Amino acid sequence: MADPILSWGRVHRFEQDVDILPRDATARGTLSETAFTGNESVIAHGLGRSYGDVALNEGGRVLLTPRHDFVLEANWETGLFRASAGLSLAQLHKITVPRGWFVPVTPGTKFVTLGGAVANDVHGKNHHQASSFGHHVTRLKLCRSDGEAMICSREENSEFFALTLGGLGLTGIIDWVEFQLKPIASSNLFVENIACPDLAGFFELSQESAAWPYTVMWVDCLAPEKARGRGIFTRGRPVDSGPLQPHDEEKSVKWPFTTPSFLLNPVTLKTFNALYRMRPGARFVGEQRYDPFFYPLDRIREWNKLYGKKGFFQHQAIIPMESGREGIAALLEAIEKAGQGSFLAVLKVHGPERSPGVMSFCREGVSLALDFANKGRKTLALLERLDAIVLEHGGRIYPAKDGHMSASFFQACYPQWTQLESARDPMISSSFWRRVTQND
Amino acid sequence: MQQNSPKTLVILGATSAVAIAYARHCIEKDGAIRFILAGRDETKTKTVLADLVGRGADETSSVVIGDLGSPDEVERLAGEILASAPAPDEMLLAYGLLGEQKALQASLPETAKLLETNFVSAAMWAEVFAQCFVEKGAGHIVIIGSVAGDRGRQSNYLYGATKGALERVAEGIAHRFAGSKYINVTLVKPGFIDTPMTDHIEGKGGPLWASPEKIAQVTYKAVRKRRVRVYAPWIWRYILLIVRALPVPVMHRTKM
Ligand SMILES: Cc1cc2nc3c(=O)[nH]c(=O)nc-3n(C[C@H](O)[C@H](O)[C@H](O)COP(=O)(O)OP(=O)(O)OC[C@H]3O[C@@H](n4cnc5c(N)ncnc54)[C@H](O)[C@@H]3O)c2cc1C
Repeated sequence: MADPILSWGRVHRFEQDVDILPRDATARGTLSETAFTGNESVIAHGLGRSYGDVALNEGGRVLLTPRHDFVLEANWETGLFRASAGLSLAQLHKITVPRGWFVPVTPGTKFVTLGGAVANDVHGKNHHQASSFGHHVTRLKLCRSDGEAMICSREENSEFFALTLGGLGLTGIIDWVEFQLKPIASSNLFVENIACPDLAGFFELSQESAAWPYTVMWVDCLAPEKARGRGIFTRGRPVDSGPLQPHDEEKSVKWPFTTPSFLLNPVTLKTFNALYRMRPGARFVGEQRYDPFFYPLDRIREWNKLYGKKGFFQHQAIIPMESGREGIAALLEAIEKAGQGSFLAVLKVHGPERSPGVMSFCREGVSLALDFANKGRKTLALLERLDAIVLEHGGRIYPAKDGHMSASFFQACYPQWTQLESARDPMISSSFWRRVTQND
Repeated sequence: MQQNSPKTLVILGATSAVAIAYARHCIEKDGAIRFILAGRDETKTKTVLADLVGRGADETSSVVIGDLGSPDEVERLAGEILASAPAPDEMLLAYGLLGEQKALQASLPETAKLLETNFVSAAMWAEVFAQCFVEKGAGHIVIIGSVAGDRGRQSNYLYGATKGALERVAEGIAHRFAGSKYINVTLVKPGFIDTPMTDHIEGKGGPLWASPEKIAQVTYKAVRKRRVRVYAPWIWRYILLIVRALPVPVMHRTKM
């Protein structure tokens, strides 16, 4: 392998062996043999869109899954769909959109695999109505290092099912995933972008828009105190008739180089945030294709190199409704004071969690996602301050986006982690898991 | 597609990465195509069939199982294929062995097997479909060749020879049907492809390595435009222009 395997944040650079899960591993009946060889521990690695180290394994092996991408069964009457876990949502849309079906829940990038969507029990702009991805998964097949292959569902091997949704790839290698697609009448959405003056405005808009299937807000996290929480609130719903046209990947462009770090400073950040808020599209109301609506960042391949050589951290917290307002305000205040704001800060009200996932990140509440260029100590100190605020408000942070949290913080956020530890396959481990389970 | 019956595409070597990528790409662009998938391994070929049907291939698509690369089998298998699809529209020849030059040099049976698989049987298949398309009055033969066929190089000349020879066959068939608008041949010449077949290669990766999907896109466009020969991606055309132009004394000083 010429290029080392990195995660999306590009912070962790590890020595690890790399293997590829072949496309026909199932047909050959050798998935377990390929996945588990020798004594080294292994972790599945999908499209590497997790920001931190959940899909990395320092000193061990990573198993790349995207080639494992067969469609196994598709029922266009009911929308029940089954495919190998390496299939990406980008490929999925090309198959389902022309037939009037869409993935029930999608994260902010289409370059994730089904296995990754399960292992992080991902959520999207429709969480308040549709819950997480796991809510729509009907069955999955799990392969363990002892050679056992288990079909898991709410009825069958239900404990493994619940621990695999949000299970960070630790319960076994997921061979395939079966889930329920959502019917669409068109690939377009009707979208409204609304300027929001402050945090109170955000909560009002969220409440007022509860009937809209998709809602989210981009926040200007460098806004001064009296405008704290200002941003652009976006809501959308699929239109009732129109074309059923999949996206076109050939239209994307590539971030041309790794940005020199001197370009990442408070001035450029402020400028970016101001420009973003004032750009012509920021007040757009009208019909939009699903690709720019759900995946604006996918237009720029390798945009993560924008953050320079040292990479960047994400921090996504969810805080229960009761303490949501104060919690989010406190987080925004800490960021503004630190002067280390992020380009892309995203606020979202989440609904009740109906995914059976034991370790799933989502719960009813408000989430705030941020990214920070890696400036070493300074950044880590800020992240720790943010963690403390999250804990104080009864919240937790998202492992898919984490590259820094301490073991004690993780264990306080997720006391149920011990259940996952007991269901973990003894041959599977990740840098993340060792970091958060070995006491600091 | 506004046709009464779907287009029929025969794929020889249907489990190869390029074949799968090409079949998927064709479905994405053209909708319901009927595939006849020929391959050696029944389970694998049937999994590919299920994948393509799941992606929108015509439900009547089917498989033919057998050793395509064995010259003794060509006639029988051709009979089977043409029995299930008497008038196909297109044939993609995508099977082949890469072979390891050092191992081939050390074993005549291995060498014979490589020549039979990559050239002897492949040329026979091309002839089978040329004949079939003559009878039908239309059809497109698509052959996956290789840039390795452009010049004999110490590192893989036996493989290169099979691909070079196959190129002559494709060229000849194209010439034979030069007057016909409806019978066409396209030879695709990829460089390095990121597939399981090349996973063992040291130092794999980098700008010259293309995904099977990229090769499929190039192939699709070349077929639509009825190009006789295309490098995939285009950069190889210029690389090979240079490689072919190197004078022998210079060539012999390289390790290519
Ligand atoms: C621009 C961007 C926007 C995002 N927006 C959102 C969002 O809105 N909501 C959200 O929830 N997430 C979001 N994410 C995060 C992303 O959805 C998750 O990290 C997702 O899990 C990535 O999938 P992947 O295929 O890249 O998996 P990886 O990141 O490679 O791996 C993720 C986890 O899945 C496991 N895994 C993968 N395949 C298998 C398998 N076959 N068997 C067992 N385990 C497996 C890995 O071991 C690892 O634990 C975003 C990421 C980016 C880059």
